[in-house]
Amino acid sequence: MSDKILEVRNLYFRYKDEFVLEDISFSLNREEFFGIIGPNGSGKSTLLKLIVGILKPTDGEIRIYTDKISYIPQRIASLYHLFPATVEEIVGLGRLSDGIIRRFTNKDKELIEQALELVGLKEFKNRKIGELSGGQQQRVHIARAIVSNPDLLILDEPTTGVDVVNQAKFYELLGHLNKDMHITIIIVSHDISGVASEVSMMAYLDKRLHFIGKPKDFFKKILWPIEIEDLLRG
Amino acid sequence: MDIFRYTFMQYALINGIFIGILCPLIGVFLVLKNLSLIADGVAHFSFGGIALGIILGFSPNVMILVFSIVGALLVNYIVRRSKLYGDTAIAILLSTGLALGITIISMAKGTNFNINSYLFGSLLAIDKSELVFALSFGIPVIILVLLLYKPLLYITFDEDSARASGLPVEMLNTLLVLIGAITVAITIRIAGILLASALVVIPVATGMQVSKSFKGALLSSIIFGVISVILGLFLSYYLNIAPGGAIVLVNVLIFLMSLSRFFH
Ligand SMILES: Nc1ncnc2c1ncn2[C@@H]1O[C@H](COP(=O)(O)OP(=O)(O)OP(=O)(O)O)[C@@H](O)[C@H]1O
Ligand SMILES: [Mg+2]
Repeated sequence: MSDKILEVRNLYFRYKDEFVLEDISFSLNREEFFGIIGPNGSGKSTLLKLIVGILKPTDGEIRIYTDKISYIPQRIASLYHLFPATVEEIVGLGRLSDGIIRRFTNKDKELIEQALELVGLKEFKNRKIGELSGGQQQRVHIARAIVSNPDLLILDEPTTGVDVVNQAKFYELLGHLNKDMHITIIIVSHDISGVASEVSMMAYLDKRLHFIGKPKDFFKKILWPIEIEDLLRG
Repeated sequence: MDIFRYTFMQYALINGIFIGILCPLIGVFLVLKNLSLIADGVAHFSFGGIALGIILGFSPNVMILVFSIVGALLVNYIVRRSKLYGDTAIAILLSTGLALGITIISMAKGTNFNINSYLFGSLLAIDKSELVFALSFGIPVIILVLLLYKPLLYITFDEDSARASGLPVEMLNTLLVLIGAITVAITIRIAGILLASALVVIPVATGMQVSKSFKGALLSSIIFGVISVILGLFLSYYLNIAPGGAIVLVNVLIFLMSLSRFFH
């Protein structure tokens, strides 16, 4: 199966006068694991917001061939230390994609349990979200995102503030979602090595798409990781 | 109990308990959306409406409702369109309403109108028609919130994620400020313009101290809201003090207690 899930054509975007994204074109097949890297301020988050429909293109078009999308914004974990809600309540929000005015059925509850199990937070389900560590909170958001059975999962720097061991586990989880649950994933990350070893396709964005293709070609083309790090520093 | 021999006390109690349920139910979403002050802004804005009503001969209650709704929609609009935080938009609205009210009242010096009952509330002066007014606007609000409880929680928790999942975020936001406005309009009659927001915010602040779940915070805020109304009303009757002030002070007292270790 390799039909398209996303097509971006000649996309331009500006918040004010200056263009933040210029002439972005690419397409993404189903079940791809797509990593986007680029320096700070290069337009990565903006591109994701355009894809999920929070922002509208200044010019060009974006076509998405599914309406089952889950999105985890950048830095979401740090925002909720005071929010009175349990892990289970937050994960349950993901089930609203099947209709916003309804009572949760046993099926819903089962899916919530499964998602919690998958991210390894079952025993934390009655904890207040703010009383979890940053990495654990990140997994709550993953559970919330996947409990809606999305076709497309979009993550903006999900591993910021997560330690190396847990980052590896995190990528393993994403790999499982991608390969075994057939979820197409788009991830923005600064962690090049982590991304490159997991993804099936990657892009280097800095206002324009400077590279898009297989990770191994990226390293061939850019030659040497030091150079990439220089690039990332801008 | 002999306090309930009087019909006005019965009305006051029914209306008070109703407000005690309604205010925190809406308040919990407003507080968590960093819009704690919207109730205050909207209430003060309606002061302009009351003054306008006096010189134009319209019912103050209707003017309060209209101005509350317009005020809340304005805040919502300003927050979405301008580069301001919610509290700044609210501060502008609040001053506009007060300035309008003061100006109009100074122009209409001849009218002898008891503005105090609107500034400080007059729970004990509620009659049957006012109770019906409160219930007929308040009950639909309660039903709406119960139906939309989960999507409202989602947009309160994270708008962007909710939008990406296909929730009608703009509509839910507008609805939330609208029902917030109706709630404030009903509450002004009891607690007055100056204290209405206390009933929306303080029980929620208390509920947040004692619960770790959203459902728990919601239920406990409502319980604290209702207890404060009942206790405040008793105090006002037996100590012969203003009910609005007494209810808010009881609320504050419970909040302070919730901060102590005793509650945890
Ligand atoms: N709301 C906004 N209004 C105006 N300009 C913005 C806004 N958000 C972002 N920008 C600008 O757009 C550019 C791209 O920002 P964006 O957040 O997409 O970068 P990013 O690649 O995600 O960066 P980071 O790695 O720091 O997350 C930046 O120059 C930023 O200053
Ligand atoms: Mg970003």
